[in-house]
Amino acid sequence: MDLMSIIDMVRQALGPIFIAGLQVTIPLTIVSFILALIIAGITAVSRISNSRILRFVFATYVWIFRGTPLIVQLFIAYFGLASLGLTLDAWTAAVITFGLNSGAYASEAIRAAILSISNGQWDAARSLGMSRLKILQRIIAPQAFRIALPPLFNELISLVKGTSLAASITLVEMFLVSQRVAARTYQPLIMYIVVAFFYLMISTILVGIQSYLEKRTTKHVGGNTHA
Amino acid sequence: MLSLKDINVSFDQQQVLKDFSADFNENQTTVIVGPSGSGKSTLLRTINLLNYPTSGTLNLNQTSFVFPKQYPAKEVSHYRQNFGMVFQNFELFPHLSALGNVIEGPIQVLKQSKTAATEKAKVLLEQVGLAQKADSFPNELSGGQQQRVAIARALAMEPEFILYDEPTSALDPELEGEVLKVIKDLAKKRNSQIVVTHNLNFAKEIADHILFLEDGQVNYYGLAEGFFSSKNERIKNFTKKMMS
Repeated sequence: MDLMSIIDMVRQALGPIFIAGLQVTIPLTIVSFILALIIAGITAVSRISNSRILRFVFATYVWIFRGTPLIVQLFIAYFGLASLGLTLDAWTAAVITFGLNSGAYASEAIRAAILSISNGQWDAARSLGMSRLKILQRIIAPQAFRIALPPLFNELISLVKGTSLAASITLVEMFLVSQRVAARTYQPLIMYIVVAFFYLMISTILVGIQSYLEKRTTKHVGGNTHA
Repeated sequence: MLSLKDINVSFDQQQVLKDFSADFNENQTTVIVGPSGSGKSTLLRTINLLNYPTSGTLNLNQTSFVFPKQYPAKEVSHYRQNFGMVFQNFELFPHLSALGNVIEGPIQVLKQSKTAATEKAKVLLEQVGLAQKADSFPNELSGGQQQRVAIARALAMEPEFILYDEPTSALDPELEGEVLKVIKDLAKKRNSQIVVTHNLNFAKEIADHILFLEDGQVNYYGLAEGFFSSKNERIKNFTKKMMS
């Protein structure tokens, strides 16, 4: 096969993969990650609460979702629940599964960040008469956010790539589109390299956003600004 | 009046305060001294309920706590508003400016308007000599400056008592003076202050009363003059060691 026809094939594949990225992969990542952050925040705060029941419930959730493969979780949500009569469309099943799975990992990043804030900060806020919730919200969260930022972006980047597993539950995202093009053109190597390149581009943009956010937030919090 | 009666505090089996009783009057500066590990900081933190006694009674004006009973968090938070606390390591909020640190409590807890809180905070920062540093962040301030902001933060809540937990131990000697001067000025203005310190020279300068704590119990509690001229062997040994 000559170079010209390869270039032509790549050009033809770019459009559909790009559209799938724009319409499915990126929105799926964003919606799932927002859901994950909400779940993670609630989980992290619950796991440091005084309530033994709350701690147990959320520790169990993290245990299950970190301890089982993502693809198995997807299959349970999409195929498994359907057999119980609870039929989710592929998009919904994917968002819920990615949200819960990512939320379990992200909750650990947030919990660790909260625990890394010194007791002295809690004492200072308590001595002002602030309630626990207010301390978390006004004093701990802004400081913990900066510390949690790198591991949360780790999680986000791994989620972007993880969305390719949604292909297995029929969601037409970038990877499934590339599979189809590969099948049609008999050029798996080229097509999968092209789709890999798309994931790499999205991750690269996220790394850029991360370093921008880090620069903005490290200004005054934390002793280390040498990066 | 703040009154502690038969207070016991333990950590992991170890009893730090033993049937501790003392009254603290308003408009006076009481300095708590004693050897390391005698329970000075624990006493101060217990007054603010940052530690919970295992038994005993705590009274402030109309409010009363009888331990080991558990009290609702809201009641405890409300009680804590009577005290401003200054910590050894300053514990300013690093994500807030000096001004932001001072207005945080008044706005979030006392529900003051931002304008009113800011106006008052500026007066307080002026009072501790940091009017120019209102917009600086803690990591841009020296230790002495940070501690002065912390004092302004405590004052902004208009507490009954200000509690100082070794306020200059983390400071270089040349920065100590500026913090001590602020505390001394407040003592002169008849603020109610309870100060834990190792610095007996400073204690002598500011204290109306001295509380000498040894092994979780009161060894001496009375006028400062009486303490420094005491004939008691333990006290004489202690002051000699600490002031040499």
